[in-house]
Amino acid sequence: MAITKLPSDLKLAEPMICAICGVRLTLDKATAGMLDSEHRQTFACVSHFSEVEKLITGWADFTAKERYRSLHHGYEPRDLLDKAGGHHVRLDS
Amino acid sequence: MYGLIREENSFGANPGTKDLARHLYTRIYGGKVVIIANKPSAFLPALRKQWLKLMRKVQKERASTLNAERIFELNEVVVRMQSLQFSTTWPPDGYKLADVYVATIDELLRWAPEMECQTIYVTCEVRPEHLHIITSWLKNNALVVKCRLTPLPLSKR
Repeated sequence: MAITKLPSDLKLAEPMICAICGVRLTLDKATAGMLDSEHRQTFACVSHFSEVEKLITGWADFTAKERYRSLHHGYEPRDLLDKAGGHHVRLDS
Repeated sequence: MYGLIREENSFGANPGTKDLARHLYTRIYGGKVVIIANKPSAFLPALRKQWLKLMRKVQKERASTLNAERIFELNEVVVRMQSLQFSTTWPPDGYKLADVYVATIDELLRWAPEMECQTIYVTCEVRPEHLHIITSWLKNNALVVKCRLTPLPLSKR
């Protein structure tokens, strides 16, 4: 399992770390996961696919953290879940 | 294929749909998903089964934790997992929209996934030029995962 190509204009938090365990990642051990509260692509270790409990709780903790961060940016709590639309809705709009 | 994230996964050690369901779990908030399969009607029940198994595991985790934040998040995940619509009807029916579509190469060549699709899983052999056509309407930074699925022998399922 590996990421074989990343677009050059992809917004990435440097260095690339696992959103679940915080370990520094290389492309050959990474898998693309959710977007964070700033619409940046996050990654996780591919090894987490074999430890399903960690995968479940890890992504839940990540989503909780990002939900708080999005609140600080003035977004609604549910915006993180409504990312499919691709746009946040501001509280004051 | 320019501007897309490409990933290659060999889901060999497990029944393929199990790992695919787990990968899908990390993409459920990321827009529509399209799975390219040779036989969508055979593929979908196996994927649904693994999806329901995974959902049971999420429910189990929710029941076993005392962390209030985690309970809330897992609750949201379960709701999302339960409401995720799977379909083998392609192109999407305007009245019965789904979140996850399983379709053949020919169907996708006739009607390529559009911008709301953020993830494509390739579970069968697709020629590069065909994949290029299929992914041509995707948004920048959408994910294309090439999966090599190896079914487990019946005795180990």
